[in-house]
Amino acid sequence: MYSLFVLFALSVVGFMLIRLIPGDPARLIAGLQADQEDVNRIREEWGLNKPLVMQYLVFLQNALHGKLGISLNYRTPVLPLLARRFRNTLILAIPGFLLAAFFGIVAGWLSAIKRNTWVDYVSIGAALFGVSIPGFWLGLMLMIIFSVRLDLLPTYGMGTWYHLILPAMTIGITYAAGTARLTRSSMLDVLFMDYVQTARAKGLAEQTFMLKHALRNALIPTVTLLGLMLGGMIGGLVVIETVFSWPGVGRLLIDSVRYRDYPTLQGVILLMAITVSFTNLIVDTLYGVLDPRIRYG
Amino acid sequence: MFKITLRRLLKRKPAVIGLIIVLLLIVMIIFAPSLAPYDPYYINLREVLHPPSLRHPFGTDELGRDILSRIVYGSRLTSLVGVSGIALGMLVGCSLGLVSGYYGGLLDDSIMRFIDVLYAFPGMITAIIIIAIIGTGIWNVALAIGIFSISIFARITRAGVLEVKAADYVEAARALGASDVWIIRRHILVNILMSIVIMATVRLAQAVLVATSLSFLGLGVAPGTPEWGAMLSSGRAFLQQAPHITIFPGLFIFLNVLGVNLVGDGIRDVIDPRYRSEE
Repeated sequence: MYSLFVLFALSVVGFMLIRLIPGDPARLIAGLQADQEDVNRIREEWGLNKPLVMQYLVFLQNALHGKLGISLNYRTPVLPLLARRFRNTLILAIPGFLLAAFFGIVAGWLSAIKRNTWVDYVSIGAALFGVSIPGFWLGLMLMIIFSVRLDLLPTYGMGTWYHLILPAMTIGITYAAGTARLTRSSMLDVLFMDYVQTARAKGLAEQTFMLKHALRNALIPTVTLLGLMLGGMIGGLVVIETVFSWPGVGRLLIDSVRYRDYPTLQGVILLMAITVSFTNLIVDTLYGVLDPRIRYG
Repeated sequence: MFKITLRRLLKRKPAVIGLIIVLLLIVMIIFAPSLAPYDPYYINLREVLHPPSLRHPFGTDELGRDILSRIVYGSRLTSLVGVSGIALGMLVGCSLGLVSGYYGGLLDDSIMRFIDVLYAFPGMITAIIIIAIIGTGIWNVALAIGIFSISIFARITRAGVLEVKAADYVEAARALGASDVWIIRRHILVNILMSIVIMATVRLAQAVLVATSLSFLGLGVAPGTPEWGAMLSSGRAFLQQAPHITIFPGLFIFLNVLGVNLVGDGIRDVIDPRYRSEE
């Protein structure tokens, strides 16, 4: 329900965008160089001479049929453009996400169970470093070290596995940090609960217990964060995609803002709306798996 | 209350380091004109892309401008955007959360649905979309940061209000005939103030990151302005010949965010006993 509402609200945002910007929406969609005939045709096609509610319905109907208009900047239909960029972003986001999730959870968990030892201090320090470092600077520093100085990896673009290493590392480091901090604090919360004390008292092996009982419960907030993170990566990797000239959705977002390419901008917002709502839905489902109490709630 | 917090805070090494960084930053912001060795806008084409030296401790950029001076002046812009953005988000967010939590009902529902949508979208993207509508520029960046910060402040304020509202002493005050304004001011605000302050520090670090990112992407300040993110962005073209143009501004963003984070973590640990390690 919530996901559907978010989807609806964000589609309204995408729809309203062109109408909020000063100027004739038909002219904005057609581009500033378009002649009057094109502008009129677009006004007809998008129903821009009808009342606002009707306009929204036309917009939805067009979107559902994959008619998102023509990109002013690339001169191609928006839908295939989006599909291509979406694929590119996934190629980058999935390894980055997996790195972040793995290292974040392991570091947070270790740091909580080895509280106040050097393991804890190293993890906390590394996590603090990771949340404070600007992603674009980290990317550029890695580039200076590994590409410019050592000449080991390519600086930008995509194509081979080597192109993936630096950007995925940058994503991994910056996103793992937040995950580690959250996992640590929720693990600590869980370790003080009554049922944990009971499990300990009845003599469960420390190892099994830390993994099966404590971690599973501590992961609930982490799963939320990871879900939001993955959903936000579509478009949210804009800075890292810019640093490494990676042709993903984020680059498309920023270019469409910069070149006033409104049909593309609308398309990107719709795509992000769908991914954010979809990941929200998955997170809600996962809750039930992790905590059976929620399933009947 | 404040004194105890400060005393406990000073016992923690990381928090002290954070405080020192933040204080140094404030000194830099206030005394920028006397600290900067050169005019941050002065173009000297005879000293283009010079590496760090005694004359220019952080080197010069592609137009021969002194990077140290630009960083010193840049601290003003970056902090101004971050602080004003968060202040705006806090003001609007807390008011919405307060009204929503205190009065409940339909008003609460409609405000929170709006907040939920804002919350669902990552801050960076929200900021970019807002800038797409209102245009680029330094104040628009602050406005964008303010708008996307509304949701988190509204959420924590509302949660705090709901908790305090149910307390016996609030009921007692109501029984004595206290007005809504009195209860909100004397009981509720006082109790949730601390968590709002913690949130504001934590968000300030993030606001600085978003503001510099937006400038890096070319959506913030006008080109040529001494702002950390924008300086980094122009240094990208010279990674090979002059890496110092990108290294130093980024280092200052990092230190700034680190300092604020250390202070924020410290305050949270001191206030919230759950995080307090055995002393």
